Amino acid sequence: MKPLEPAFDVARGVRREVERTQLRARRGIKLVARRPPPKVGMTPKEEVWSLGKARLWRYRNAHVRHAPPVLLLLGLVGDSAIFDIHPGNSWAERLVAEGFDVFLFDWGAPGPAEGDHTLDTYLSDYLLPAVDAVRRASAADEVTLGAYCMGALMILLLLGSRDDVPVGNLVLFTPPCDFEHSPNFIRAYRDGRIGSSDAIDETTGLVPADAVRAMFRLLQPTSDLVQYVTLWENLWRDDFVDAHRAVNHWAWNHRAMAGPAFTEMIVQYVQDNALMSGEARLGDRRVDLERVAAPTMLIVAERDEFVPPACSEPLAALLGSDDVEVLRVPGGHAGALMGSAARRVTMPKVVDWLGRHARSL
Amino acid sequence: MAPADSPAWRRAFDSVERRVASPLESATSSPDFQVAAQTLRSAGRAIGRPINGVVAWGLHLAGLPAHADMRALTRQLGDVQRELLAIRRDLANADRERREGE
Repeated sequence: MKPLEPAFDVARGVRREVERTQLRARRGIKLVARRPPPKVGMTPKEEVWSLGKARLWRYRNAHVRHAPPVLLLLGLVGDSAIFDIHPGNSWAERLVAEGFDVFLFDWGAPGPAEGDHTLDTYLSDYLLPAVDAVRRASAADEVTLGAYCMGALMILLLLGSRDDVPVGNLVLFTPPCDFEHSPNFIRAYRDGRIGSSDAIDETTGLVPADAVRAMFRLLQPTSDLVQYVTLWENLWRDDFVDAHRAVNHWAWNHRAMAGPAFTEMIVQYVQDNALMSGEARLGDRRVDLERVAAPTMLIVAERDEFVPPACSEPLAALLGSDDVEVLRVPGGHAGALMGSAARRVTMPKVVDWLGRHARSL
Repeated sequence: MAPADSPAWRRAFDSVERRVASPLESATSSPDFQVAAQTLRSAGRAIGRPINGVVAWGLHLAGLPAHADMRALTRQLGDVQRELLAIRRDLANADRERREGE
């Protein structure tokens, strides 16, 4: 090694950092000045059904090779864009490329008009007609449902309370089930020190989006700062800004939640742990998870901060299906569905599972 | 966390953030913190109520609507929207049942 080589290395490092900082400054100014809208949901799709604020889209695919069609949905407080977050990091894009007929359902951001909605209203009046619309659009007898987090819990309530939902397969991403293992940040609700009515705005009947966002933000109070530092660090990279803005847009784009649905979630599930005790009800119907007989894949994130593995895993033993596969993936709650762990592990394994449970057309 | 080839300033930031974040997260996600935050919110509302009452009285004297009036209006509008939406849902359900019967 030449004697001056370490000094040259340091000089090269300093020069690289100066060049990158110039790029960061230029792009940072452009970003702040223009504030371009985040590029989420870029995979081509068409709206095929709507009711109130709920929407159903079908992704364009001229080469559908598998049946049944796949219907993706999220819970009530998040944007369904997580399934199509960014080109190259999109479930919709990947499933379309694999030959599936893919639909995306979104409950819509509620306003005062939805302030009286219960979980039963959402499932019976919006999701069931949307499932019918999927079957009509694709001329299919049944559908495959893919749902994330609270969406997965809602699907279980629907399928556990009715026998007339034509579901071929189920993919449940981080489904909450055993609230005995719920994270600390909802403990005050669980032990009744905070009541659900404390969070509901009496004018609109909603838990405001700000309150939902604050609840998640308190779980990771430094996350905003880390996001900005990460953005600054990578601002010199061509491909980073769009992907970062898309992910960030989803992560903090929480929605309000209808008060009655929120109260049901808190009282029945968080406090009474009704799925585990077998006392869950949807409207006037009893929820029996033994009724869920479709082949099911459960995805559990090993470092999930919102739905720890111990909260999801007991579900496997409660379902009536004799074909249940549990996939443990590295990463946290959102990382199970998007990001590098999702691309490396979750997506290939889910696509493989769906392929094994699909019919060729 | 940043990858290993990150610049020195980022590694320094991460090491500080790791030390600060963990106790902060434990504190803010604890039930006691949530209860304290809720108590503060309730106290804020309790203090704000008589103040808003006085402000509303003053605004009404000047013939102007107060925040409480806007809230009452929003509530009434919400009720009408709910009824309309319920009718739309009933129609959609009836349409669905008719289609299933065919």
